[in-house]
This record gives sequence, C-alpha cells and structure tokens, in this order.
Amino acid sequence: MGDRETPAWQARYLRPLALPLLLLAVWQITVMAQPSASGIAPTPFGVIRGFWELTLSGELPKSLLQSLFRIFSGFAAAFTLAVAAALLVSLSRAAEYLLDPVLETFRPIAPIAWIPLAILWFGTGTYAAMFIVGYAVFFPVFVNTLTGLRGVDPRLVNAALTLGASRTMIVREVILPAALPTIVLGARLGMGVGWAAIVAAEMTVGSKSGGGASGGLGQMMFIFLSYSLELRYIIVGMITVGIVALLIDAGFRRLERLLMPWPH
Amino acid sequence: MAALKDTVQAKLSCRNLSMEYRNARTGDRVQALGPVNFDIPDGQFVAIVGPSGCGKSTLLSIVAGLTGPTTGEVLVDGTRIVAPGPDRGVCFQDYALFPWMSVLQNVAFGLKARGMPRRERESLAQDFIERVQLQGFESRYPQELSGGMRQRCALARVLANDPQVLLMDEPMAALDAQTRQIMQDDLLKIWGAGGGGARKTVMYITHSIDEAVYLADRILVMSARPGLIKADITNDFERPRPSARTRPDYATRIDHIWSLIRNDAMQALVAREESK
Amino acid sequence: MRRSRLATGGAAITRYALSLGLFVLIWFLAALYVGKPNTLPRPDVVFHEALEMIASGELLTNAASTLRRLLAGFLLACAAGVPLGLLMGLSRSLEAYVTPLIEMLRPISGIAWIPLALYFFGIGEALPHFIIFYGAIFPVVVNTAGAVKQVDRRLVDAARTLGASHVMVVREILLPGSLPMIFVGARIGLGVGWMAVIASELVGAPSGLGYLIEWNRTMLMSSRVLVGVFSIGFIGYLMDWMLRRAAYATTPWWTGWKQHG
Repeated sequence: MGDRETPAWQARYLRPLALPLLLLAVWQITVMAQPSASGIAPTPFGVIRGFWELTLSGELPKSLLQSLFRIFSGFAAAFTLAVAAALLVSLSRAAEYLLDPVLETFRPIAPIAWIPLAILWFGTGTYAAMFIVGYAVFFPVFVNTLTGLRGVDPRLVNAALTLGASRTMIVREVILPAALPTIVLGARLGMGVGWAAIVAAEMTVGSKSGGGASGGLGQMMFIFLSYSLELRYIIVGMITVGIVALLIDAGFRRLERLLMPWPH
Repeated sequence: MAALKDTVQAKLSCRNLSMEYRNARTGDRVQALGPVNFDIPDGQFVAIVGPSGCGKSTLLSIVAGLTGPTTGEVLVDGTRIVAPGPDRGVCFQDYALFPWMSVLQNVAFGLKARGMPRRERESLAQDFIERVQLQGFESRYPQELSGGMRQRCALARVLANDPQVLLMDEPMAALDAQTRQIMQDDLLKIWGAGGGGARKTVMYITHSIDEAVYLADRILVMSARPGLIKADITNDFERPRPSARTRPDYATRIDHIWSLIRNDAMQALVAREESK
Repeated sequence: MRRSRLATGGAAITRYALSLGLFVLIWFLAALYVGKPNTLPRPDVVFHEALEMIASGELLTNAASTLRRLLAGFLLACAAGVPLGLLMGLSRSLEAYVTPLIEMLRPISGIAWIPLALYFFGIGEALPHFIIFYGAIFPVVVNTAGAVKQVDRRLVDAARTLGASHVMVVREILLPGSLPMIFVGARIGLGVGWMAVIASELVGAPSGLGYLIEWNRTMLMSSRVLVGVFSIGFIGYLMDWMLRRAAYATTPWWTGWKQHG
C-alpha cells in the first residue's frame, strides 16, 4: 500500500485555493466578456473596491456594529433565560412536566416565521430584530444545556459524595464543568442560528420600513437592491455576513478551549 | 514457471517479512516488524504471542494482504500473495460483521462475492450456521447477538468461504473469561471436525499465553518492537486439550513463555506511558 | 440530575393536554389584559380563524405552494449533493479541493443571498428554488461525505478478505453503511430548506405560507398571522417526522438513533 502523501505545498496552498480561485477567474472573465452588463454586474475587483468604499463612507462599519450589537444583546438575554429554564427543568419535576411540551411545540417554528409578528409587536426597529435573535438563540442553548446537565455521569456525582463534597461543591466542581462543553456547544449553535436569523430579520424589516433607521447589515443589503442599485455593495454585505459568521464560530471554539483546558 | 518445491510444501510461508513506518512529521523511520521468517505446514494450528505493540497484528494484516510489507513476501501453496482474498479467511478482533445484513446474509457474503446464486448460497450458509450452532438466529442482525454469538457468526462467515488458511486476530479478546473458555472449546471442536476434509491451517494471534498453549500445536513467541520471532515452541499436548490442563508440564510451558515475554511486556508498558 | 422518566402513550397525551392547556389559559388571560386584538389575539379567535382558513382552502393552497417549492429545491439539492458527497467521501483529493470552497460559502447563509438572487431571478419560482437549493445542499454534501468516511474500515477489509470486488465493496458495504448518516444530512437540509423557503416568501413571493403571514401582517390580522406561524411549525415538524420514519424503515439496523434524533 505504501505512503502516497501529497507534498506539503500542494496540500496547504494548491488544494484549498484552486477551486475558489478558478471560480473567481471564471466570474471575472464572464462579466468582462459581456460589455452590456459591465455597468451593473459586479466583478471580484469591483467587490474589493466596494469594501473599500463602504468602509470609508462609514456605512459598512455602522451597519455591522448595529447587527453585532443586536445579536450580542439578544444572545445575552436569551442565553441567561435558556440556562435558567434548563436548570429549572432539570431540578423540578413539575417544571419539566409542564414546560417541556410547550417548548417542544414552539421549537419547530423557525425564528424567521416570527418576523411579521415581531414587527406587529415591536415595530420595525431594533427590538423586533433582538426578539428574533433571542428566540433563535433560546432553543439550541436550552436543549443543549438540558442535555449537558442530564448527561452528567451520576458516578462522578457519587464519587464526589463519597469523598465528602457538599451539595454546592458538587454543583460547582462536578456538575457545571461536566455540563460545560455541551452548554458552550449550545451557545455556539445558538449564535450561528441567531446570526442567520438577524440578517433575515433585518432584511425583511428593511424591506418594509422604507429605508428607515433600523439599520443593520441585512437592511443595508436590501437598500442596495431596492433604492440605489449597487450589486457589488450587496456582495460586500454577503461576504461580511460570512466572515462574521466564521469569526463568531471561531470565537466560541476558542472560548470552549479556554474554559475547558482538559481534553474532552 | 514452477516455484522451487520442497518434498512437502508449506501451506503458508513468510519470507523475510518486515514492516517499516516513516513518521510523516519527523521523518524518522521506525521498524515495527521483522524480519520474520517461518513456514506453517498444512493443518497446523499456530499461535503467535507477544507483548503489546510487537507487531503481531501487523503480521496478520500482511499475511491477509491488507497491508503491503516493506520487505519480503508471503506464499500460500507456493504462490505469492499480493491482495486480500478468500483463500486467507480472517476473523477480526471485533468481528467486523456487517450491521445491515442478517446473520444469514453475513455468512453468505463470501459466496455472494463468488457469484453463487441466492438459493444455493443461502442453503450453504445455513449449513455453516448450524455448524457453529447459531441456528434460529439467521434473520437477526449482529447487533442483536451476544459477543459469543457474534464470534460464531464471524467464524461461520469465514469458514463458508472454504479458505486455505484461517487467520484469527485476537478473536476472543472482547469476550468475558467464561464465554471465552466455552468458545475456545467450540473453536477446537469446529476446527478439529474439519468439515469433510482435513483440518484447516490456522494462524492465531493472541496476547493470552494460556489461550495459546490451550489451543495451538505450535507457538511462535515474538519480541517487542521491532517484532522478531524469539522462540518457536512445539506444543504437542494431547487432544482433546481439557485433560492437558491439569498436567504439570502444561503450567511449566506457560511459565516458560511468560519468562520470554515478561521483560518486553513491562518495557512496552513503560514506553506507552512515556509516549503520552 | 434526574433523567426524564415520563412515560409515553396515554400519559403523554395527558401531559400535553395539561401543559398546553395551562399555556393557552395564560395566553387567554394575557390577551384579555393587553386588550389589543391586533397585537395579542385571543386563543379562541385564533382557533376560529384557523378553522375558517382551512375551510376556505386558503391555508392549504398556500401551504401547497410552499411545499411545492421546497420539494423542488430540496430534491435538486439532494440530486446534486448526494452524488457529490459520495464522491468526496471516496476520494480524498476531491474532498481536499472542494471542502475549502464549501467552508467559504457555507457561512454566507442562504438568506444573505436573497437580495442578489432577487435581482437576478426576480419575483417568481426560481428565487425560492435557488435559496432552498443553496441552503440545503451544504448539509447534504457535508453529511454525505462524512457518512462515507465513517463507515468502519474494518468492514471494508472484511469484505475484501471474503473476496469482494471493488464494485461489490461500494455497493454492499459503503452505500448501505452511509445511508443512515445521509438521511441525517437530508433531514438537516430539509430543515434549512424549510426556513429558506419561508424567508424567501417573506421577502418576495406572491403566494405561500411566508407570503400569507406577511400579507396578513400588513392587514394587521395578527390572529391569522398566528395561524400561519403555527402551521409553519407544524408542517415543518411533520416533514421531519416523515423523513425520520423513512429512515427507520430503510435502515432498521442502525444504532445511532439516540445520538442523532
């Protein structure tokens, strides 16, 4: 059988970049080959210029910060609520009995479906977006926290008891660390869903509010579709959405490693 | 082109086998196995024992044709082997039964590979299922069977293919001690029965010296990495074996083999700790 | 921490009745307290609206439109995604070329594509089809590739020692072995696709459940919006349930149900 290894340079540079670069080249050439479209159609270089222009004008940073503010505040609220709910359900039989069916009924309803109602309740502003984010974040965090708490190996708890640990000590030193990986996983998943949800919410809200003050990346992308057509700015928005998604995910993975230095 | 033949050709021949790994990161070369040379005559039950990491599983993998050796060759009936095939049947340590197939379909798999029509192969498979005393469980999935039953299913699957050589990689390792003892006797019974022909040639890897002495005609003792054959011991206690267990020279033999392995085994233990 | 030991069956029905009954009661009281039917409608009003919308066919027609789009986009995603995933699982070099592209595109959620897609496709059927396809294909491809790779290599070895040809190994070992995880990817893709179709209908479509709730919102008919919202949840759940049952029926031998739901 032997070792058919790919040379290191090929593995690290050629393979990851080949396909994307090829597609970019095809994109650029296709647009250039159609003179009629070149006014409207964006090119890779046009997008790069777009990044520069939008950053300079402040529009991109402003929208980005708006979206980030919403998602993090929505996350903070929903995370606390979800963890509290999970703790309650895991500790109280009555809470579990009554709460679980309600939550299970609402869980299949995607956050996006609540957007019209959120607009009805909160108008087309920040609160609607934050509500959607909160809803999106709640369920993954709740489910994973509950799984984490329930999944703590009872033998570990027993071992701690036989070593003389108090109830508080057990919760603090055994149950929480044991549940932590799953809780952080829930947070990471929640943020992922939340980010997609907020872009969707801002887009929908933005399309209804007539270019109002709600702001955010989603709305920015919509404005450049409906009001002043700038396709490359839309793409700038899309790429920013993607980069932020990656950074959030990476950030949470890093947090995971920091909070849990032991191999798991 | 005729190979050079002895008066009685060995069933299985390992010539100058060795296995060398190259650490991709550091570029170091590690000799995992060999060079190893031995012949197994037809119908002999050979056990191979050695400390952890001595390369005995690698050896089996090479003989099975699943891994290519760095040097050397394996001959079956004088012909060199280059790939896995039904002539060398393998019983894996964790049985490797196909979870989406029933017991019957598992046992019939090799026959299917050979192109045997369904009715014929299922009937033949049924025979082997009865031989290992799994009748009644033909339509069960392997997940529904106990460890001992899975072992028997794996055995039936390999025997149904009528291999020239039977390679067994610690097949009893996953069983509890009591089941293991029962299965050992079952194995000897099935092997000894021969099935219309002579006994099959067996190469049996194990880390249990007790098991090796109980089952085999001959025991090859391997040293720690790089795995070399340290000793070639004829183990001709009378069959059936249970009566042999009470003989004093039985215990002596086990002791003797352990004395050969013990230092290597302890070294292997330390090495594993240090490499963590 | 205690595990849930609550029984299923008749006891479950009682439980759901009690729990949801309590919830509806709280909802009813809250609605009375808030007193604004356009904001928080009463549960009985919502219930009546639901009956009316079903009877008039409005709910079912729109649901059918949405489902048609979902099916089209999803089947396309599977038709493209499963073979690609299989090839990626079998060929490490193909995987090495394609995965970076996937990792770059995947973070850009299908929803972020809506403005651009709206420009190119306009308001019509192509838009939701594209968004659904885009959203569903990533989980399908990634999970299918993973499905092939997680097939225990010992099983392939065993098959080869029993004399199986390469074709037989793919047909008898790799394909059946990957099927359960392919179903998992399909279920995730379906879920994403369901979200995608609703989102694209919210923004630009003349029919469908997304359109329904959005239109009723502009009419300030929040009770009808709620009917739409619950329908979306219910149908989404139903589809996932059906796919799960299909998985059970096709791969009854799998032991990973607990882990992957």
